[in-house]
Amino acid sequence: MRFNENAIRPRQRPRPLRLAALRCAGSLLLALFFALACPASLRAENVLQREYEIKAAYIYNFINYIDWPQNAFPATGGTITIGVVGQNQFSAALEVLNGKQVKGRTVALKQITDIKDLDQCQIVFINASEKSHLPELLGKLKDARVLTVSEIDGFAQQGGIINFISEHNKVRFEINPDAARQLGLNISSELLKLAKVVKS
Amino acid sequence: MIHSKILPRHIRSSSSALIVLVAWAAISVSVRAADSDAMPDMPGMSHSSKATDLTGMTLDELYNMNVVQLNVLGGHTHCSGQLMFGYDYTHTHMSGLLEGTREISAAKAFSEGFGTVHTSMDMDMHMFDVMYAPSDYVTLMAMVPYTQMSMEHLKSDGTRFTQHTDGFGDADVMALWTVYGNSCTGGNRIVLNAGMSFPTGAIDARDHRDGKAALPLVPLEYLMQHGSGTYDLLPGITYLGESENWSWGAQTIETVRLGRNDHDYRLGNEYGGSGWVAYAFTDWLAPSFRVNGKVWQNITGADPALAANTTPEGRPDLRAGSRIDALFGINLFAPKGFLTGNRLSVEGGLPIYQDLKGPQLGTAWMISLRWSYAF
Repeated sequence: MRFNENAIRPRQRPRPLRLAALRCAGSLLLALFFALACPASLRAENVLQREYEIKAAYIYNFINYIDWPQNAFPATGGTITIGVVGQNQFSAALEVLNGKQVKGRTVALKQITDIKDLDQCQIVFINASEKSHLPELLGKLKDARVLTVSEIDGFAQQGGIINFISEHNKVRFEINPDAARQLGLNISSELLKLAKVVKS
Repeated sequence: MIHSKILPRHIRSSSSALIVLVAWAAISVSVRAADSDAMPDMPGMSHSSKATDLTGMTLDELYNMNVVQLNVLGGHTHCSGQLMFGYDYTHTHMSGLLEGTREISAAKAFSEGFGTVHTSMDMDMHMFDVMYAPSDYVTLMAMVPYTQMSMEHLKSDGTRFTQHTDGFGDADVMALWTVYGNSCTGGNRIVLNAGMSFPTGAIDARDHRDGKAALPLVPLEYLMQHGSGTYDLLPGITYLGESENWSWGAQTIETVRLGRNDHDYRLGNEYGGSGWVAYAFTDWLAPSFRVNGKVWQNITGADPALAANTTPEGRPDLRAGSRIDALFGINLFAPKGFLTGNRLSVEGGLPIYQDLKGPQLGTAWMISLRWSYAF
């Protein structure tokens, strides 16, 4: 039994048409599968955006766990205004909050372009891009009944109230309760339980 | 067929898979472009793409939510809207003839009537995959492999030769449905897998007899073919779990062959199971350990073109077996910075148990490198 392995038909067997048709049909089915599976609103989601979506949802939740003094809100209109200082993807993530109802008020978003507008907000988020302007911004807000939120290292230690931090692939936050108390903001113990408490 | 004579073999075998990839890319690009055009701008606010609303989640859920999913071994799933492209390179080295759990010599195989035996085989597989999650509960996946195989032969007269083949394999599509838990929040999850394998891989791979260019092309054995030639069902179930630093999971995926292919045979069904655990030392580093098990059946029917083949690998009744592999891996993530969304994994291992209906070529070791990018 030698030299006869693979020694089969000298001519190649014609490839059956049925198999070719099957492969072609398979390819078209695959393409169709994805065409149908992808909704018209297919949107690629950046991993960074996921982080900002979590932060936006946190800010929405914070409203339920923080009490502002009555004079923090305008006499007329039932809105709670979130001001954003600086530009980045967080603006897009915050858009989902626009118009939502919370604690009987409607959330309104405002891009802050003039520092004078800061005290018209009840919440101000300071983007990491504004790190160099932080002392000036916190100085402007030191007497305003405004919940300051940021993602800048050392923000809460410098007098800010809530700062987002990254821990083990999760978004966590620091709270400076003394800074909140000085402005008359009352933070619930449930929120403080989850936070890393820091001092100025 | 006319095109069979004009186009080189590897191009013919890959044309179907290429159609799939091009169609998928075209759909993705066009839909994404249309979507970005349709996005209205809010006064005073800027954005790159519409965000997902997570305000329905509680503080505790947000507190425990992973930014980047850590559990990526096995049939992992994605959050709504996430798209992931992956590339997997696996090198498998097979050597040694096994009968049951014992290795036998080539001389013993020759004494059993075989004229030629395979002494080793090296396979390089390049797998391209794409995953898209239309919702937090459903992830769709498509995979196309490209394989390069090289097999060493020993004839009973002591001569040796090598045969090669390369080409695209069968393309798989799969829907992963999270029936328990949530892909975004992590924690314990159960995912049902429903997939189908399409016969895009060649079952008529050939090379020159005795590996000599002067000799005619002959069909290669079942092991050297790139596809099954049949539509196959891929049902399965996956369990995924996560804690602060640990991730773990278990998965079983079956390959159920439907009908016979055009060469009048059907590969045996395959029943696979795996379990894994990974520990994240940091946000970017997680070593892992995985155990893979697989049981597969003999071929039903036979390729008439292999009737005169005298190797064990040409026998449809000597294909069944079972194997358990132990694999160690290193998984690197990029949670921040310009590499955000990138993952790189290296995993290597070897069988700790093999029981083959033989003589059949055993597996010696395997190593894989995986890169993926989610955005």
